Parts: sequence; structure tokens; C-alpha cells
Amino acid sequence: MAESSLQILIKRVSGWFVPIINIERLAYLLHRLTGLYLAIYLPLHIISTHNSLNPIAWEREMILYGSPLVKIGEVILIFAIFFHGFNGIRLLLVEYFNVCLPKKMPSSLYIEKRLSLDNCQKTLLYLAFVLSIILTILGTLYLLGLLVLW
Amino acid sequence: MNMRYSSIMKWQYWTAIILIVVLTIHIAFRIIPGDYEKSLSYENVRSNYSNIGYSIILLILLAAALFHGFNGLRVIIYELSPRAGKIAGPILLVLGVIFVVIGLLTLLGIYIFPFH
Repeated sequence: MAESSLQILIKRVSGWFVPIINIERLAYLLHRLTGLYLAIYLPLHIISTHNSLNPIAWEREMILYGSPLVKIGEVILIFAIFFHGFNGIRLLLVEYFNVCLPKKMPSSLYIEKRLSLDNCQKTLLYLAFVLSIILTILGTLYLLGLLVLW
Repeated sequence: MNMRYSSIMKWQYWTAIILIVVLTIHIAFRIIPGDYEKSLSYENVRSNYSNIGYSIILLILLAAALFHGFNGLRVIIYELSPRAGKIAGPILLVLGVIFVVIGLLTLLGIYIFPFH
């Protein structure tokens, strides 16, 4: 029996999640999810900042920003910005500027050793995770008023 | 068609590079006051907009983020269903133009509606 469009869609989206067997796969999934989150957030942000034309509307907006639900959304936003940004820089370096590519490309496509998991690329990948986690923690503290800079 | 697709994807990379720069500046403007709540005060936000250099940065950010975000969304939809992707493309383009206009009106608002 032929699969329906919905079944095909569910199968393709679930393909993002399984199998998360390594950190590269996790980075791929998080890059997609954070990208989607940012693409949905962006129009909302543009509409909400339009309220800055009116002080009363802006004050109302700030009350909304103080709600716990929005704060949780903002913490996810901080992680999304930093992870998508740092992983994006990694992808740019590797895919566009050919950084960390092996000096000698394998003669066959059917390679035994996965070159993408070699040290240089792995370091970039871990760096993207570590930097985004550290900056998310600092950003969350700043957002909650627990970190006043000066 | 392939040529057009590859040039759109090239812009996806270029807008990513642009975004790294302008988004860093945008975040810096939230950090400079030293306190998040203070950075979002009406007076601070309006004074940010009255800075012509920052307004230009925001304009670049607006266009680059909308292109990068909506094109990324189009690519994801296309990968899930090529038919839906073909329909989503023009819809996202129109939405992108609408949001650029809304953002532009916000930025120009400082000159149209001076400080309250």
C-alpha cells in the first residue's frame, strides 16, 4: 500500500532524530532545530520591536517580557543564537573555506576511516558546543539580572 | 535552474558571514548598558535608533536575517516535500518583503514620530 504524504513527512522529520549516534549527528539536529526556532522568532521580534514607536505599547511589551514563559523562550533563544552561530562558523570554515579538510583526498568514495571525525574537525565541533554552552550560561545570568556588568 | 539555486545558496553563506558581524554588534548594544532591563528601557531603545550608524547596522541585520532565515526554512520544507517547497518559496518571499517593510517603518519611526 502506498504511503500517504503525511506518513512520508513524519518519516522524513523523524529521520532528523534517529540515530543520534555521534556528536556530528547531534550538531546536525541542533543546527536544524535552532534554525527553525530563530526563523519563527524573527518575525515575532520584528513585530514586537515595532511597538517601540509608542511608549505605552512598549511598556506593555516589557511586562510581557517579564513573564516566566517569555524568559524560558529567551534562554532557548540565547542558546539558539550561539549554537547556530558557532556551528554555522564551523560549517562555513569547513564547507566554504575548506578548513580542516585532509591534504590528500581519498582516491575512493568508499573510505574505511571517516575523515570528518578526524582531530581538526572534531576540535571545531567541540569548540562550537563548549562556547555556546558557556555563553548561554553567561547570557542567561545577564538576562535574569544575576550578572550586572558595570 | 541549477545556476539560480546555487547562487541562492551562495547568498545563504554570505548572509551567514554578514549576520555574524551585525548580530554581534546588535548583541553588544544590549550588553553596553551593563544591565539587560536598562538596555530595553524605552529611552535606551529610542536613543539606539537615533544613532544613524546603528540604524544602518539594523537595516543590514533585518535584510540578512530575513533572507537567511526564510531561505533556510524554504530549504528544510523543500527537503521534506519538494512540492510544498515550491509553494513555500514565493509565500516566504512575500512574507520576507512584508517584514522588511515593517522593520523599515520601525527604524524610520524615530524620524517620523520624534521622541514622545
